[in-house]
Amino acid sequence: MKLAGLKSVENAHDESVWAATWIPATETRPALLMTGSLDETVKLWKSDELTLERTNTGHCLGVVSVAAHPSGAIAASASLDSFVRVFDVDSNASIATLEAPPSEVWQMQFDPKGTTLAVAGGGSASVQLWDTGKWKLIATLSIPRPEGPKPSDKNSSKKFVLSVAWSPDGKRVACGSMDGTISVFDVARAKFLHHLEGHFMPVRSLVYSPANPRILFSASDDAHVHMYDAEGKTMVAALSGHASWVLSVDASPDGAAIATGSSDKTVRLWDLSMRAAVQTVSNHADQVWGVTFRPPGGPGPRAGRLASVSDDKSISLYDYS
Amino acid sequence: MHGDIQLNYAKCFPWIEDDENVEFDVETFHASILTWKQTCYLAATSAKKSYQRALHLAPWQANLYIDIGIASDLISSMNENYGQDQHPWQLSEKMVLGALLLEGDNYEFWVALGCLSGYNALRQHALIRGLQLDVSLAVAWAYLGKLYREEGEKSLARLAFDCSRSIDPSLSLPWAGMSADSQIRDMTPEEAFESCSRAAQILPVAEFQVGLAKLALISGSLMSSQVFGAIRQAVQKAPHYPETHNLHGLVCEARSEYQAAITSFRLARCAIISSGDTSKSCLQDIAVNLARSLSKAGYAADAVQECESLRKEGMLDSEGLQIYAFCLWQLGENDHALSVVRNLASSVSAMERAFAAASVSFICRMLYYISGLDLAVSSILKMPKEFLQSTKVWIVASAIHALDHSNRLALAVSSSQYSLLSHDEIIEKHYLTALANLVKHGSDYCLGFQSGISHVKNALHSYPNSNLLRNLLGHLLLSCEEWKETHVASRCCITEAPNCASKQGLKSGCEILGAGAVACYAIGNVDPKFSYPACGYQCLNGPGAVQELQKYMHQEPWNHRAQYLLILNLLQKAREERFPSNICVILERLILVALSNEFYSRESMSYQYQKFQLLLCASEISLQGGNIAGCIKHAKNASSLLIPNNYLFFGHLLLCRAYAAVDDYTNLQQQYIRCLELETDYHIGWVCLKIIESLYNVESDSKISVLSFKKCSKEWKKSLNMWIAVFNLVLGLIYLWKEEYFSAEESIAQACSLASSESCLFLCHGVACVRLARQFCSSDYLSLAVNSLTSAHANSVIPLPIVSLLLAQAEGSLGLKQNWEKNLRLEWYSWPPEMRPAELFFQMHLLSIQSESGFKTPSRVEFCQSSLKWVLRAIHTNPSSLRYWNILHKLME
Repeated sequence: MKLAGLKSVENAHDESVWAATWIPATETRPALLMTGSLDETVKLWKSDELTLERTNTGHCLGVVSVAAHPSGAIAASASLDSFVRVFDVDSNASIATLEAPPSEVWQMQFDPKGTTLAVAGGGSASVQLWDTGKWKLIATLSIPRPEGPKPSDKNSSKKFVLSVAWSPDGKRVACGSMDGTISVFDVARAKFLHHLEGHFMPVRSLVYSPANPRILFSASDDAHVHMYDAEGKTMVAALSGHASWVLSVDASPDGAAIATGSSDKTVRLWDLSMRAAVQTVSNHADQVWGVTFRPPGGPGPRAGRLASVSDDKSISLYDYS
Repeated sequence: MHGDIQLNYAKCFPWIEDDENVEFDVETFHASILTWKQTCYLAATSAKKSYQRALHLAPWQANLYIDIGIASDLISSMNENYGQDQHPWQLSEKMVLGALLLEGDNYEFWVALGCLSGYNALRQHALIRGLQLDVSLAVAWAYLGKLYREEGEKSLARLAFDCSRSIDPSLSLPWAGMSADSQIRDMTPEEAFESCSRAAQILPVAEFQVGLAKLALISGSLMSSQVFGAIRQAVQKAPHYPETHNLHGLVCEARSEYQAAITSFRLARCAIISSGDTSKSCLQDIAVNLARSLSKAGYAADAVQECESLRKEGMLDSEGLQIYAFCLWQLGENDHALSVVRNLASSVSAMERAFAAASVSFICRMLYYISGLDLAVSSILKMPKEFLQSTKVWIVASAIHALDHSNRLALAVSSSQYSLLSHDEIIEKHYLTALANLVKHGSDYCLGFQSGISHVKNALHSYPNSNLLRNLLGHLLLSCEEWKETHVASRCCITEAPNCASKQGLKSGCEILGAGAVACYAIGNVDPKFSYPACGYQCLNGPGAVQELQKYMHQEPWNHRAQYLLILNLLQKAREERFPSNICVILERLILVALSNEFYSRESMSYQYQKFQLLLCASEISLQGGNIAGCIKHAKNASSLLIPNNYLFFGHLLLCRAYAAVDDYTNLQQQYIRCLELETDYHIGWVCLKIIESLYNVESDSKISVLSFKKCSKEWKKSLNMWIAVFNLVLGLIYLWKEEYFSAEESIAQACSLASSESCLFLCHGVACVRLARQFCSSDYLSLAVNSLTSAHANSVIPLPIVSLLLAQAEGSLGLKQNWEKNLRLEWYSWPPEMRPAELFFQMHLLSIQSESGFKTPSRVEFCQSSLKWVLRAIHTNPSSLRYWNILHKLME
């Protein structure tokens, strides 16, 4: 289990690169890497050479999040001004523009079937679920307010929702908040289930293990990656090693490893069987905002690929094996 | 943090002119503006990005949203199409909403929303919401006021601004709002200017600064350095805005920096052209401003070119025409100028009243300068009468009237003088009338000072606090022929006021004071150690004058006139105090400094005259200090200057004295003859020359006689007798020196008969008579002496010494012992204690002996000590006199 550097693109964007995800391969083309940046553009890159496929413009502020539909046909990008642009990957035609009050769009993820887009709702302390057919808001999963007398606005801002993740079976949605709690919802009933506790600083990234729908990985500013049993409300393991905030986490398609990006400028690969970091890659010159594994499938090389993006404006591509 | 810095940089990055001397054309200007904008834009963008990074890291920080909102608002304001963006959710607005969602109870965010939103309704709501959260939120009140103002709700705006200002007076916006509302608030332009200047001081943004300059233009305070600084900054901050450059130009022009003004106007034109807005009126305004600055800076040809290009476009208004005509006249193209003036005249009737007045007065002046007095007079006569109602026109007309000896304008001028209303206008009118009197009532070579003086006196009676009139009166009194009233001159000027040195009218108060003090020969020394003030005019400002002038010079060290007057006054003081070495040293240095002034290398008559005076002072100081070579050098320098013979005479007179001091009689003779050749109107010169003539027995063909003396001054009517008396006195004194007592008595008697109020003359006469009486033992002369001395006593302001002593002797000789005693006692008191001579003590001894025989009155002065003591004191004061010793011996025996 190791990462081997394949390609690195310096100055891939004009400004810090904040978000990255893989658009799954379709029948006509292989998987594409999609990156979003402070320079207000979204770029599509062809693997493995990382040649620039297209640059999408249209956002007024930095792009904080990108999400790809499991079919690989459509994708969404969100910027700081809380506009979500949904577009056709191949033609770049806008499909929908979802608008939310400012500060209420952060991380986004399509559900495994591709019928719903979950959006971490920031200051609204909720997760919005959008229907991907009509592009209508279908549900808002709110984190219940803590007990006690009428909570002040300050308290609700503590529940600022930063990250969101779908369980592989599509039944659960987990969201991470600024105060370190993770909330788990039952999608079908649109009901809050429980909190997962353990972090005490913002949880910026969440991912379910593709192998086990109960296992949830979380990355937090407290420099730890936690592994939870999302159903049993228990923390399975805490992975420590990063020297600073863990900004991003992704699980490998085989479910054997996770990768993390951190503001200590490194990318780490963790062996889940050993529950320890097996490799530290430090080719970025600034904090690493995103790590993402290429999903399997599609034509072209089948080998595992990991991409990482960073504030140093560069994109790196690794071979994962 | 980085964002904050970048944002401020973007706001403040100054636009700097590339090279001062580069010829500005539109392209370079445009390019430089673009680069500047680019830099600002980049900085703002980078600020925005920094804020975004921060927000990405900590999205729960509400204030970061506000920061992004402000930055993006700034960026969009930098874009050309600001305000045209009809997007329903403006970015900045939205960001603020984001912040509000997080912290809805933060009133600052509401205010920010109120500022950044594009919808007035929303803005109003946001501001009011902010006020609900905190009613004493001055900023919200201020912005609310601004909002209402934009919507035209003036009274509400006013209310809001007032609220805001009362809560927090250190906020700039309400002040600016106040000044912008000056019309509804019934504010004077000055008040509006004041409040705007406060606003610009508190928050120096370009808008306030431009507004400040505009208000300054209205309220006439363009000169103030506040405005200058403000507009300079505004130019740096808003260079793309033509108005900024235009106002900058106006400010520079007001400060007489015409070059800078020209550059600014040119920049303003570039700015207009590059902004693509080619509204003709702006261009015209700027072109007229430019032409005016050019003409003021002396580039008449350029200005004419500017005007011509304006004319080609048909945009030459009356102001432009005035400049055009003026520049043409400067270039000597009189015909062309005249035709322009006619153009102007034809358009006068269509003008606004105030403007028409300015044009009319300009036309009159141009006519006067180009075609002379007659045409100007006739055109004024042709002019409709109502123009004369205007002060400006009236003043020009009456000035022309003053110069016109045939009085053609008398009716026109006098008929409309009652339309003048304001205090200052009336004072100016009097000023002008007084000057007119000078011109009209004067003879060919002498102005009619008397009538001018009487007019000013009358006017001053109604306006006693007018410095202008006071100074004029002083000036006229000083320049009045015969100098009879110089002592009054300095009294009628006010020098106490803080701005006394500022020039009002022809001369400032201090100058008149200084000149008056010099003109009065007797400086009015109160210390009788040096002299006895025999002058009946009681001009007592003398020592004060030196101090006043020092103050004056301290205030204005660059003022060479102050320096000059101080030197003359110091010399006067030195002369009166017998040239003490300390004053002489100061004077020498002062004169050296003054002479090094570059002014004195100019050809102008007044400077040459001043230089002459300074050289004479230097020469006099050298003479008194025994440095004859230096004295002769300075005097020769002075005599070589190109000034009228009248004055040059005195240079040679001084040379006479210098040669006399070294017994160089051949040169003395030469200079004496030179003096005779040059002649002078000044009697004192002749008197001095006469003294030199007789003292050194100068041989010449024509001696100075009373007749020749009279000849030199026909103009002097009133004071001629006095001067002849003085001359006779000198003759008498000369006879006395030659011991020709009869002739002396005769001359002095004549002098006394001519000037019957001068105690000194009578004293001299008394002395001559006493001498004669002693020589011939004649009681006739004794009684004559008694008469003269009595008159001398009666006429003198303070008791003159020696008068009483001589009187006592004369009366004693006539056998009037009582009177002898009385006069001796008087004599005792007429001396200052430290200056009493030995003889006086001796006389007191005699008096005490005489009185001892009679009954004693202890209160009398002679009994305060014994007669022996008197003698001892006499000996103590003058031990060399054998007479006193003898008496002492007798007394001791």
